[in-house]
Amino acid sequence: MLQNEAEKTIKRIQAQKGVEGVIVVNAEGIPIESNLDHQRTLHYTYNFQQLLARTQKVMKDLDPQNEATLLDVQTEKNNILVSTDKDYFMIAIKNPREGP
Amino acid sequence: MAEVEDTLKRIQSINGVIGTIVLNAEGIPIRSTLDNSTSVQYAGLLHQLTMKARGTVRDIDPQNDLSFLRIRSKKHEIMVSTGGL
Repeated sequence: MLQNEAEKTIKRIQAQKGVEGVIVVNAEGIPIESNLDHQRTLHYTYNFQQLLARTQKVMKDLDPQNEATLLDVQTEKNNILVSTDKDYFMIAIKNPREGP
Repeated sequence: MAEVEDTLKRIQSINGVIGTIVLNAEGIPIRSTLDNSTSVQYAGLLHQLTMKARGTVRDIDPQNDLSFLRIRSKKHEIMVSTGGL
């Protein structure tokens, strides 16, 4: 169960034009919120959790005092943002041709 | 070649830019404004990470490809442009 504030924020982002999907993943790696179908949710969660973990390892290798807070993956078709804080992370999929 | 040099100079002169590294297809730094050991370290780690990111993108959609990768951290921001390679 998400806090009311967090839920409102997530719903707001999900409703933005151009935002294809938003997934929130908890510390156990389980998606606790998503507006995508189950299969896509799991696929994105697994893949980007791996990439985020690798990114954090790279950042620690470069500077043990530093860590990544946002991973911005720009592709030919869309834009995937992975935002992390403590153990949770959030995936937002944006379509560049729509939206602000 | 002059155009490349101008672009590199322009990027490096932007306020806040700490360093610029150009890598070849093998991930070897061929131009850099940073010292050699730092360049080699960044090149090695970020080349691998970029390949992994590309793999992730292709895994989700084989018709898609990575074009740019940006890592924001507590201390700074790293930007990787793949430029089709």
